[in-house]
Amino acid sequence: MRRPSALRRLSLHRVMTHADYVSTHVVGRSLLVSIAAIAVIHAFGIVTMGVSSTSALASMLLAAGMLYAILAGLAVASMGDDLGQGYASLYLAHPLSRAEYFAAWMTAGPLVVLVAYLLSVAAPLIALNPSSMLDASVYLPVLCIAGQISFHTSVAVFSSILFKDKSKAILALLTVIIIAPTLVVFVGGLLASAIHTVDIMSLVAKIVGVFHPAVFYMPFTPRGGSASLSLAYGFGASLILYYLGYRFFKYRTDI
Amino acid sequence: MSIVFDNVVKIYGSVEALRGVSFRVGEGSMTGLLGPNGAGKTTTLKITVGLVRPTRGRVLVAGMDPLLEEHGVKSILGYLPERPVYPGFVSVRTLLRYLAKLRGLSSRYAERVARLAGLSKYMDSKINALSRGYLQRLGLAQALLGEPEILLLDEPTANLDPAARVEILGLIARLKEDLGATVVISSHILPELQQVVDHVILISKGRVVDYGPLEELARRYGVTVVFRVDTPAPRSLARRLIDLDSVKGVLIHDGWLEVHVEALASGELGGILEDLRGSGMVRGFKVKTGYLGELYEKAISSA
Ligand SMILES: Nc1ncnc2c1ncn2[C@@H]1O[C@H](COP(=O)(O)OP(=O)(O)OP(=O)(O)O)[C@@H](O)[C@H]1O
Ligand SMILES: [Mg+2]
Repeated sequence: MRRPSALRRLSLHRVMTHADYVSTHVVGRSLLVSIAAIAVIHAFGIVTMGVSSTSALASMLLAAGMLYAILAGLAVASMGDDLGQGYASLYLAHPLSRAEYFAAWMTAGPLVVLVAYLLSVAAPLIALNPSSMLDASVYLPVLCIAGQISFHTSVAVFSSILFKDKSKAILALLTVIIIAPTLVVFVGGLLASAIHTVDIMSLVAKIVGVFHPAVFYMPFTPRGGSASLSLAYGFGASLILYYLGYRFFKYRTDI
Repeated sequence: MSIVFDNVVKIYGSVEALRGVSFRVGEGSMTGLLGPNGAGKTTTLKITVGLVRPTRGRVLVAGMDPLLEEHGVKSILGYLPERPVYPGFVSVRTLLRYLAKLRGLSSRYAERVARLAGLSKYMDSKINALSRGYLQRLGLAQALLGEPEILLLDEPTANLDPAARVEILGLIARLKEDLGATVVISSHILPELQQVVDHVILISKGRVVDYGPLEELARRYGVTVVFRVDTPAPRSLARRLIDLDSVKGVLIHDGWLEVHVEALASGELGGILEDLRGSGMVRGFKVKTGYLGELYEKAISSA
């Protein structure tokens, strides 16, 4: 007899019940309100800047994307404490499967943030100039940043599950978003001033891209980056991290 | 069978918590899971719920594998964890309503289990404001949601004062009557458990030493029960009782008797004493010392 896959047995009702509980009581409304606030400011920023100056727009998209990623990361990092403090085992002793628990967190964190992000870009663009949505110089950066947000939240998800500890998950997230790229740029700068034979800074940009996949495409690579690399890496790495996190959680021996 | 463990091994890193545990828990029974600290009681219960994955072996709960049929098992199961792992940041009402919703129940059921567990007054309290006793009641309340067929209670009376202990045990016994559930209680406080269980699983160092109906084990290990019988005529009553095969000895006191009887025959003796109460020979009687402790000692030391 073939068992239906875990995914097909997910109950939307239970996923939403838990996602609602998590976002209201565990993550906290304040974080969700911040995400909504950023979405609104972001949308206004796009309206005021217009879509004409694409490089200024790109910088703003990138900055906002970073904020989104940090907020989404903070939201899912709470999962670390949920697992570490044993609350998860209380919920999971009721008819909530491990897969549903995971899906609920994905809904309350990454999904909400990605939707907020995309809406905050799409809404003003549609209002201002719908045809700009079809312009690759507009939608490619947006998608690359979406990939980056997804990548950063997947780091928070994976490290929450791995460490079962919110602070450690946040530290891992900040390492990827801020600490590691800053170090790379700093060391790169030192090297660049000492060695002139190789183009250190373009190497630095590539390494920073490992932490911020959107950088593979924009805007620090004036010679034109690769959107496909940025998208493939951003979404690909996040899918892998989400998947590994899920497998690790599902087959972990002790919740 | 409600719960079947078949040669279950659980290794945590280098600790062998369960070393091939096998037992069966029959439907509708009230089973005591007894053993010293670190014996593997909590691990056994967590495996039953599906919170812990066994290293080897097979577990069936109402015919289902807890890890493969998570919903099936969890929807007929209520679990009181050993450590009070309740999120302190929500109110009792919020938590119970949310858990009820997971079970597809309306919030009415949250109020109901709170009432059953004596928690109604604290519905709007934040959980971290509850005392230990009330946390335990919250644990019971959440375990009772959806009137589970199987209740797993991990040391339900730990950390409670004597009055609360008696009350919680009484509550469990009443609930069992009302719901007709299969109940497994882990504990190492034996005298109080004896009042409620009819089956036992004796576990020590990750191995099941013995399991089965309490009376059968009591007979196998030759343990005795001591009754205190209040009577206006100690001597003549003593003469009548000593004639019974199952009575091992009678001590005569002023106005009462201490009767030692084979554990297995304790029910029968109870019936006889009840009859004698009708004729005035007996004013009252009660079990003075339980045999569970003796059984436990004998079984664990013979292992
Ligand atoms: N998560 C864990 N990681 C490592 N070892 C564990 C873990 N959980 C339990 N153990 C070990 O497994 C053994 C059995 O523990 P368990 O909690 O099942 O015993 P218990 O019978 O419930 O004890 P107690 O009466 O103290 O509650 C112990 O040696 C314990 O230290
Ligand atoms: Mg225990």
